[in-house]
Amino acid sequence: MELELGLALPNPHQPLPAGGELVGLLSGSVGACGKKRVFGDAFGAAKATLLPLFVHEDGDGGGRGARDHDPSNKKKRLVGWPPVKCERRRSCGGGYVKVNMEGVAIGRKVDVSLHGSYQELLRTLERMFPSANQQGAGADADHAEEEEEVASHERRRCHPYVVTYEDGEGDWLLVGDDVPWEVFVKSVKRLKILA
Amino acid sequence: MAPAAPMGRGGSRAAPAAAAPPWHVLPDEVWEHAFSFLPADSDRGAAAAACRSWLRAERRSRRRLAVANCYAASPQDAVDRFPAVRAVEVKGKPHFADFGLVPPAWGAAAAPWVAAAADGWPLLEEISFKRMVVTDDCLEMIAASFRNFQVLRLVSCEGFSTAGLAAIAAGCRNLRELDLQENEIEDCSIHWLSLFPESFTSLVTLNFSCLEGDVNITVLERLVTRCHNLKTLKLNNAIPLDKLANLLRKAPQIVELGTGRFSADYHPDLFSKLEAAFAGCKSLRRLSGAWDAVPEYLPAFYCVCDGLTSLNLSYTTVRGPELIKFISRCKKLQLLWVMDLIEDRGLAVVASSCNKLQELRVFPSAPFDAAEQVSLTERGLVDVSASCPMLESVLYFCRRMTNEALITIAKNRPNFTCFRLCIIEPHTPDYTTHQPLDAGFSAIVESCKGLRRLSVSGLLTDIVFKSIGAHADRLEMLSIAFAGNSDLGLHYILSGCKSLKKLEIRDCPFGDKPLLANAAKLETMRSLWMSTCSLTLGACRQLARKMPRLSVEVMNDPRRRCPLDSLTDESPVETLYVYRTIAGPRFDTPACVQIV
Repeated sequence: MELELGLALPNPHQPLPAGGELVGLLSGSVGACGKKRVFGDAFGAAKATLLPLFVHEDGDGGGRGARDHDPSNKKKRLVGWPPVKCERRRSCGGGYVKVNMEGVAIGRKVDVSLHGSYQELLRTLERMFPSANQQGAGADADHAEEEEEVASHERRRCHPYVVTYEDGEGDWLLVGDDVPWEVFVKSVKRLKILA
Repeated sequence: MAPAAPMGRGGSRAAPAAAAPPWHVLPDEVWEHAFSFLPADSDRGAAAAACRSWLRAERRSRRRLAVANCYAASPQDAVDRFPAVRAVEVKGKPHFADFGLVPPAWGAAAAPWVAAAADGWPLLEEISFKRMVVTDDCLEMIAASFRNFQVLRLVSCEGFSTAGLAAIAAGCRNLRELDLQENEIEDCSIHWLSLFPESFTSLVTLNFSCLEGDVNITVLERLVTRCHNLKTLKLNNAIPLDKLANLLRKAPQIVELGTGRFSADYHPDLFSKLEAAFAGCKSLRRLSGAWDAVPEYLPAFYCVCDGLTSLNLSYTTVRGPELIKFISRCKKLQLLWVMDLIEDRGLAVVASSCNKLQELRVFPSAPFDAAEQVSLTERGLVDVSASCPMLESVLYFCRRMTNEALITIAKNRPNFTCFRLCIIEPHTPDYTTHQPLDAGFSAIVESCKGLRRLSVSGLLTDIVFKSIGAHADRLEMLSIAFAGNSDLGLHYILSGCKSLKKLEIRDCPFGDKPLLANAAKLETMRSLWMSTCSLTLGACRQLARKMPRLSVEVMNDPRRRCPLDSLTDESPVETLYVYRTIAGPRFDTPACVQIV
């Protein structure tokens, strides 16, 4: 996978947990999805990612006076801000969509717009639906993932998931690289994972 | 009270031959009857604290129970303490769960409550769950356990499907209200409406507006026809407009209507049909629905405008003139929820037409897209607050504000009980002076002495919190985001705000010191939420040690996988949720949540 370095101004509105670590922005890089190749395989060649040259390290979560406006910067959305409920976000073009997995009774919701790339979205979906064998209505994705990461990776090699989505026109398409990520975010209405 | 005779024995004591018993020695039944006139739970609670016999009389006669935090007490505690409850309301997840800040599988399962109720309250008639995980099993148990079950209200819940609704429909013979508000309901393509028996006629409220799937319209029509007492009907988006007209003709007695998706190409026939149907609804007072750009049909509603007291157009994308014309005819409006598409000029019309307005909510039509500007500013809110003397509750999303506007609003409306202002861009200052909005919000809390709920936003320093702490004596719920400069801000709040029950804070530079210095305050409150602040794990551990009657929950980003036990005291804490409880630590936390 190719990495391109690009200049991007620091974004004061990225969510900064008190520890100061930038969450998510750098994780679209090479090594991160190495283990989860099966998801990656279903989606063709990995995309190039842009790394900002300046990275926010301090834990300043608020209290800033003047704000930096970078008109060209696609602002990474703050989690849960502005405070509008999920239903309202869906009708306003927010990123919340329903995710169902074939054979699983109760679906989940995911805010697609909080992700920066297909890889990030796939990782979230993996956490939500760890593997067919562990799935149950009350399954705790976090527990499952921690304990079974290696084993489930093997399982998934044999049973790859395929993720599909319904677009604005009601058609069901394969989630993948032929559609640029930004276009996908705007058009996705819901997701379905085929086991 | 100095009793002449021992109080704790129940029943009246035998009167001496000559004198009547002292007034305070009365049978329990008399006290129970007296307590039934106390409407507020807090009054009943105060009575129960007076002495043992009042405690006994009160708890044995309590019919309605509200559990504001499902983890504050165990279901068994509730059932044991109040054996005669007929109506129970339980709330689960913290408020910020509405905005995605609480991880899935966090908790708030309704199952233990349903199980305890099934066992201890067989005469239960009403259940209300808010922000809880309700499964189909829960709904089946409800249907099977309470022979006189009448009211089911589920608000912002998830975990169930139309299969659960089918169990309710089939099993609850005396159901009066099925009220489903903003839930995530899985559609299993079960025709749950068909499971109401033909003999079933008791429905007064049917609200399935949040259901995403189709319903059998013929079955719905038959149900509506035979339930002569139906007063509230809120449809989902699957009901087409012409079917709406039919339903209205079958239920002209309706008081509250949710139209579902009100959208169709204009046909004069359909217009006449709708107009005639609405003309027949002489009792219609409350209206809501998701109206997709159908200005041509709005005049069909004109005949009901005169009587409307409540209008929820918060999912309506109709713009400008048609919307304004419609609202201006509703002169008796007490409640108005709209999108910011109404703009300042629309609110100016509301101000002049709707002087009975008590509650206004203005929602953002494009919350994530700063580029799409709508002309809704501080002007609209100033106009409405100037002209509507009964206005007491406001929720207002906008992109700019000034101190002067807030000061004017505060002067005009000292009767606010709820003031929630959300300036969409964090840290936005007064756009004319570029100053923080401290002065404006301070004016609000100084003027509105009855303020119970407040949400602040925009650029704010510690100064505003000093005002809030000092003046907001009746404030019960406070929401803070992207505000303050230092620990002092939090300290002002926790050391002031005498009546504070719920405090929720995100993305503020508040740290350990004010939390630990005001630990005792937390036991007087229902809960505290702090996310993306400057807290350390050590402080949370200290707080938990110091305050055994608080449950101190720490949540880290689920993407970080280290168990909290292994982390040092200096580790930052992403989210803290603290609440008082008599039930001890809960055992149903997911991996990313730990009770320290």
